[in-house]
Amino acid sequence: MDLLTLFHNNPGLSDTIEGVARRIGRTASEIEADVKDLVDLGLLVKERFGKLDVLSFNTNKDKQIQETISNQIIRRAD
Amino acid sequence: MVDRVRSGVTQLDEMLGGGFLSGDSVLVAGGTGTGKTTLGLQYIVNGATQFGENGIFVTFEQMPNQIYRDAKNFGWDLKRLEQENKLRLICTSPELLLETHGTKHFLDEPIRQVKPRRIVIDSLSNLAMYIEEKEVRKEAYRLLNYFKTKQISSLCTWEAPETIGQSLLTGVGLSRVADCIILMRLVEIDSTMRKALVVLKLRGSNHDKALREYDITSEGITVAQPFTGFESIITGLPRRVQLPRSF
Repeated sequence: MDLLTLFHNNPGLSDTIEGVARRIGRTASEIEADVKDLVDLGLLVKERFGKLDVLSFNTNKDKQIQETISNQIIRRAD
Repeated sequence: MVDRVRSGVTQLDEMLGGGFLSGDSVLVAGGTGTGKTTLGLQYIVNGATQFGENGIFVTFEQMPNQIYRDAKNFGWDLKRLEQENKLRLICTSPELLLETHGTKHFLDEPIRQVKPRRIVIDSLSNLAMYIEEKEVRKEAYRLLNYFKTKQISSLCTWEAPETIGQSLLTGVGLSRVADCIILMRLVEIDSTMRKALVVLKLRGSNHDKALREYDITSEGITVAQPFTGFESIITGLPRRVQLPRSF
């Protein structure tokens, strides 16, 4: 949740896994599983850059998921 | 006629004889709280809003949402400028700027998308956390030349301890790498902290050598008149000058 909030509030963040972890007061190994889940969901993009893995936020996917959730809520309310 | 890049801070541009020289590397050195980041933001925002020059702002320590908020306090809507593709705020780790992926640079893609004429690196001091001191000059030189080859004017901030002033810049050799150096520092006068700014160097152009007082107002940095009646302002602890008695 911290990870998702971090990227959601800071869409311009594009950093190494260690760098991202530092920004939420954690270590790379602590966030590894969450990163994998969010990458699998398509919310985070992981790219290899030289020796480093870089994480960035997929704002299009975020909008898409938010719209889906919003539509589900509207439909249920109807 | 030399092409000038105006900061948009009128009095500073006057000190520089019209602005920075196009494509030059500017180093803004100063201690904590002197307004280096504010000046960098002002330079980027004014470029995009007043001079039709897109910009990229790279930050290492501050989070984008902090920068959006702080900029808003000065009346600068960074999010809107980003939506208009006039600005890109990039928050990353310094090691990524040092890393090359084959012939590709980490900033290649944002530069291709935004087509900036200006870039701010806040702060170059953060690079020093990832490399040995003797490597700082070499890596800074490489990074600044990368911007020059892309015809982008760069402004880098540098955290210089208040007590040292100019000497720290020469310590890592950055004074030779930068084309222009602006020093911002806090000065204690009559038990009040005031702010002084000086253009230490502007390669290839004359410039104002006076130490001027500046302030961080609700509209950003404003530069005022030179300090008068004091000496040793650059040390941060100025002394009043005894004016000769008139007979």
